Amino acid sequence: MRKISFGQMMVILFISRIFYAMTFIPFFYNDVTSQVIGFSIATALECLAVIPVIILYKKYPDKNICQVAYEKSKLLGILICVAFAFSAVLVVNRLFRYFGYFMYVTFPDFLPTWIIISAIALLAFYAAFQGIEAISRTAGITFGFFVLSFIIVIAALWTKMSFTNVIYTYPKINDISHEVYYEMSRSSELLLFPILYPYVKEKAGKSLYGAIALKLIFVYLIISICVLTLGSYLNISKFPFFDLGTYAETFIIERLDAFLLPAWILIAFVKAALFMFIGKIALSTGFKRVKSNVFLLIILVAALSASLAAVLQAKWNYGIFDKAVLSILILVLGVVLPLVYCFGKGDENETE
Amino acid sequence: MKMKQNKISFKKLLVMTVCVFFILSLCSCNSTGKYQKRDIDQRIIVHALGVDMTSDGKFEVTLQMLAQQGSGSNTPIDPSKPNSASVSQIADTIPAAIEQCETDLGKKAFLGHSELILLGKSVKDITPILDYAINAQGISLGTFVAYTDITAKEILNIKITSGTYSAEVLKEIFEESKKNGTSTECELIRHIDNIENTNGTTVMPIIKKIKDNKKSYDDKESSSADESFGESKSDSSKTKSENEKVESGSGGGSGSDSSSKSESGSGGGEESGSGGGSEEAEVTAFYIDGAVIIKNNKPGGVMTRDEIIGLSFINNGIAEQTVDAKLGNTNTAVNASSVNKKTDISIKDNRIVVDINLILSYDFYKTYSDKENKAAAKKADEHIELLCKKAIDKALKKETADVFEIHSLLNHNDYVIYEEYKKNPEEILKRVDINVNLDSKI
Repeated sequence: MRKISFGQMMVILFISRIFYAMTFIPFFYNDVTSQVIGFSIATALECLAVIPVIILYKKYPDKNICQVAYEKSKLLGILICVAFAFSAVLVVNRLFRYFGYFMYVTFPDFLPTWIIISAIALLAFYAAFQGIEAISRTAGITFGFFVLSFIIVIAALWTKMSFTNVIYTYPKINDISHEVYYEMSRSSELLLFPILYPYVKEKAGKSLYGAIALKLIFVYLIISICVLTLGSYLNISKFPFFDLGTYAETFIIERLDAFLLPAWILIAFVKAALFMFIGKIALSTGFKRVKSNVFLLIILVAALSASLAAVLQAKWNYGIFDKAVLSILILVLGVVLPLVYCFGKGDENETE
Repeated sequence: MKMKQNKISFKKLLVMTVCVFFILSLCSCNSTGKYQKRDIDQRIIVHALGVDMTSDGKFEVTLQMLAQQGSGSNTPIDPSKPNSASVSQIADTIPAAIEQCETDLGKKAFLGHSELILLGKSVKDITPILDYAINAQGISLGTFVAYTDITAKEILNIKITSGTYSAEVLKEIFEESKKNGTSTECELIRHIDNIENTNGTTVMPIIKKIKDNKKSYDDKESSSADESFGESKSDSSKTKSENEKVESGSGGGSGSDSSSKSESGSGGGEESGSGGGSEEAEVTAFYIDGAVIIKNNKPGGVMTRDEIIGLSFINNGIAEQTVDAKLGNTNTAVNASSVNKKTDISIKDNRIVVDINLILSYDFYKTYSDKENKAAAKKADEHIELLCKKAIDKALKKETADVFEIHSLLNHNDYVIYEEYKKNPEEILKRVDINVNLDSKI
């Protein structure tokens, strides 16, 4: 098995989460104060929620959660493998729909959304086919590009930021609880980690906390810049972070949205590839006789066809699947299951 | 072993080839309709968008664009020749008017590079225009939005003798005016932000055209604060008659309400727009003179140039403003710039008292003694205080408009009053007193 480094794992987990932060934070539906509080609470909960899976990693450093479950009970193991693959399909499907919506709103005349999604899906399929090493290298480049474009945009907007643009609002319990719920449903890195930790050379647990810390920093930065620059325009902006790009200008370049768009595309592609990959790994653990790439193809077809069916009808949001079902799956597969398996005797060669 | 590795490599290559083939074939499926690919010469690169209202409540939209056929002597290489063209159309909505412009030219408009949205004097309500600007694809949040005391069409049809096109020159004028405080913030996003926070209040600079030097001074002197915006009677009837004239001249074509096209320096189309050929020949430039206060999304009172400078001082937005200061019998100039602003808010006898302490920096053009410097600074202080007072009297006392960021002050200092402000801003603004104290540094 080819292994990746601690830093690569951290970047992978960060990339899997930052897409939603770029696209939907700050979300115009809720007030910003509630969002900041809700996000902070969700992050604190997430830090607690990852404890079982880190214990599991220490007990079984070379086996992912599907392998552990399969060894304990074959039938349950298969069920868990299928549940992971189903979650991966749901996440990829949601990602394609949201990415399609983003392209549909910001570049309506560029290409039909279904073509854009199909192209990204095929690229992601190829990356997943190449394996975790290829994905993690791409994720590294993507992260570098994201940080660079972020710095350029901040530098260009520096003079346009003002505290008078900040309008405080009293947080509402309802809005905060909604935000916590949304954040937990978007924390798909909790699904990634139990499958991917055997691929990390060392310090897998720290990479998870590193990714959460990175997420926290970038989300706070995004919110701060948006609030300081866009002011109350946030109440009507669909993609505030992207709007920063349209507003930012330098001596040479009139608008910087062109810097942000590639970051968006790359992040969507890496995330799709990651989830296709973990779906493949999960299914190939449960069904050992079938070649793993067949599962990859199945995941591609399932996620893409569901996304295309939705996109062609301009249905971008499925509240039940996007939030409720995924929240439950994240909670069960990413928290409860590791909690169950972290008790008892593990493998001998414990790490960290 | 080697065979196996070769087989895997071949498999990966095959998958990559299939993926690339599919992606390329997908991307070439752009066929027709709105996804039709267009070359740069099939697009209208719009630099400025002008909106006027006709007397029957329709929108007359003027697009100023780069003259596509401009080459050789028509390019910026020869700055004595204008490089812009404009097209106008009238329709019930702004998108419909733009679409008609596109039909006339047989090209798709690209608004991503537009630098200016200019509203004619006849525009009574800015809501549909801002709605369009927010929702239209590609319009930058940094686009300048301003009013004019004539029609937007006239301003955008001006043939400038320096620079490339009038929108570019206007952008430079705005930037320079913002530095010296003769114009307020006029970017689209700032207007949206103000309107969202203050129940539809913002300030938009007014662009006027200079017909000749003498006349420009006359204009400045006559720019009364009671000039009224949002009246479309005379302008729209004039515009309509012009359009009708042009339509008959250009041979019709689109079947729309009316159309006009003017392409400067190209020989194509008919000269139009600014109220007659002989008058247009006199036009050399434009300037920013005062601003119109928008309340409830409707244009209201007009602030003069002095009041706008006062407003800019209060809002801490002056980078460099030359202030007259009289020393004995000699006039001298002091270069004032905002350094910092400290604001306190307190409640006294049911009045909301806003104390603004402005820290200003003065530079002198000539070397004086310390005593003379202090005297000149005192004179400059008095002058600036007067400008600030004028701004407060006009915007707050007369128009009860929140152009001093009072909403933000209340939000940051007294949330209870801010809640009241959100419900009834006018009532709260009537209770506000603003005191300006200057702390000048030589």
